[in-house]
Amino acid sequence: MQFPRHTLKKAWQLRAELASKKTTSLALTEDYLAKAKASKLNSYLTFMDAQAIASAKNFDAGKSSGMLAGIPLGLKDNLVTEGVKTTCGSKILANYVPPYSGTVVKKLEAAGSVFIGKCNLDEFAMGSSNENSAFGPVGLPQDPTRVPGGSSGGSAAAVAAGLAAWSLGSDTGGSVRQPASFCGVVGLKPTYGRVSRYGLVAFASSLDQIGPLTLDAQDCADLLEGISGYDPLDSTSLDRPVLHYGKAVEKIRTDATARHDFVKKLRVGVPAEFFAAGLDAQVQKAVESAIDALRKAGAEIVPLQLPTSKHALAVYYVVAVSEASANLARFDGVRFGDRVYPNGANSSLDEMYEATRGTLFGNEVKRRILLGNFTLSSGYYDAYYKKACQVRNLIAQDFAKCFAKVDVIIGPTTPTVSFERGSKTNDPLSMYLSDIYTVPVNLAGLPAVSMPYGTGEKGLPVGLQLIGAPFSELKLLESVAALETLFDGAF
Amino acid sequence: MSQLVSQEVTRKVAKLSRLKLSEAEIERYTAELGKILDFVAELNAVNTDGVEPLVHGFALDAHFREDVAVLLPEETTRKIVACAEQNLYDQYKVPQVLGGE
Repeated sequence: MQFPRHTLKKAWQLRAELASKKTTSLALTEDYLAKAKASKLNSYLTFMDAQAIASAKNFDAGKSSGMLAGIPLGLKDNLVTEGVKTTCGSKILANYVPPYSGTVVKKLEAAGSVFIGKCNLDEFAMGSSNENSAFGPVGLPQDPTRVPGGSSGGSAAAVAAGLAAWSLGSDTGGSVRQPASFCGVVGLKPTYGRVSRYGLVAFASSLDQIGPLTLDAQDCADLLEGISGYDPLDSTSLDRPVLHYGKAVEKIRTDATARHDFVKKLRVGVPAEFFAAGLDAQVQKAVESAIDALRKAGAEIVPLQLPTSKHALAVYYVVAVSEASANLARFDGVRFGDRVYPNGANSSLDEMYEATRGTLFGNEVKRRILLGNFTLSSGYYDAYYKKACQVRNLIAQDFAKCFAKVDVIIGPTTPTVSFERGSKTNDPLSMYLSDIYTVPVNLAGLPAVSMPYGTGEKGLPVGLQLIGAPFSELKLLESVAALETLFDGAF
Repeated sequence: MSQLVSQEVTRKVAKLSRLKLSEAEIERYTAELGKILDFVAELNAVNTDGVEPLVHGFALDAHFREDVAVLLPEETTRKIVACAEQNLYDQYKVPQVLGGE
């Protein structure tokens, strides 16, 4: 199977066509909107026609310019958009129209980005297959009977199928990288604090980050540059300079000498734990071929150990559910969202709360709220939450030790390629295993990117994950750009 | 199967969570929570003596805004309150809490 990036136009190519007047933003926008509406993948929940057309016309009239201007983009439907329904894939917010837009959405608007619509997701970003959306699952573009991954399944599928030039997702335990891997696109989770979370509906606040989904490293770098930066409205946003990711990647992509020099100086860590039991043989083969290619190109390959990472999934399912149970307490039917009155006008306030939440939240969300309230409850807090946070510290220390020796850590993004719809829905634990290589990264607050590299079972895309030290997005994206040329044989 | 989660525990946690659950759901979640907690129990084998709990990402130079009350324009208040399914006089309307029988 061909990679989409070989057949679809990347955002940087569209930008060149716009600059040379080969096309107009309006023509592009109408084309993407028409394709998105005709698609049966269910990757969009709401289309933003009026706003998209207006932004496109603005660009064509010379009223906006820059890296993001005039180019069609998809937004995960947990990013709040003023005046446009934001459902989080949940019945409880089925009719919620936010009174404000988040920081990232405002940045994109100011940069002239064209919003095609709001992308489907697992309810409140909880899931690894997009089967937990209250508004139906999303199909994998390569084979719609399979899952696109989750929770940013709609955002990833939209890019892979050419229904948006690029998109934004959010990543709490792998929700950008895992669907990027399944759909064969590039997906980046930035360093915790790199991108403002203001206006991202919170799932697990110490883990959540917004990240780009794109067709290649160049687009990923350009979009990251557009959404990064300090935001006083997010108390966990970090005040570090936004680098020229796009320019750096362009150099690696276009200048063979710079590329060769870069790879020769690159120290690549390979943790034994990422190649353990449970890893599909074809996925392993594809990842090893990437490591071989880097070695042949002159990179130093360093075997590593991440001994505590095998406990990351257990830590994640305590930390994430604990935070989720607190974050989702706000959905009480009072201030936003729909209400359910079990006994009509005679319902008490508590009865209204319980019926609203019990009826309108889906299975996975209820399971995680229950688990979180259990692990935080009196008598269990130390045994679960505190213990998990201590092990989390050990995981972060493992990574810190590794980054004293290497620039990037490489491994698979997921143990398998995309699986069939319905094959894991009755077994939460087997579904959770899909995130085994992605969750350690969120626990340690690190940046990581998934890129397509080769194929596995049935010719489906394999995702290669590169993990970096805090704020090393530039090096990660340069590495992805170098690997793209290695894979294409153009190194 | 975990000894920790009985149907009684699930009911108690459901109450704390303000989640109305059917009998079938109580049964299902009791089994599932048990399985997940059994899985999580592997953490008990990790030696964490003297290890500080890490509750946030790698660095947190958290910054806070001044703790001052800001009077929002009436129009903003109205926009926010309008998100509620029921509101009255720019306030949230809920079932009666005090009084009654």
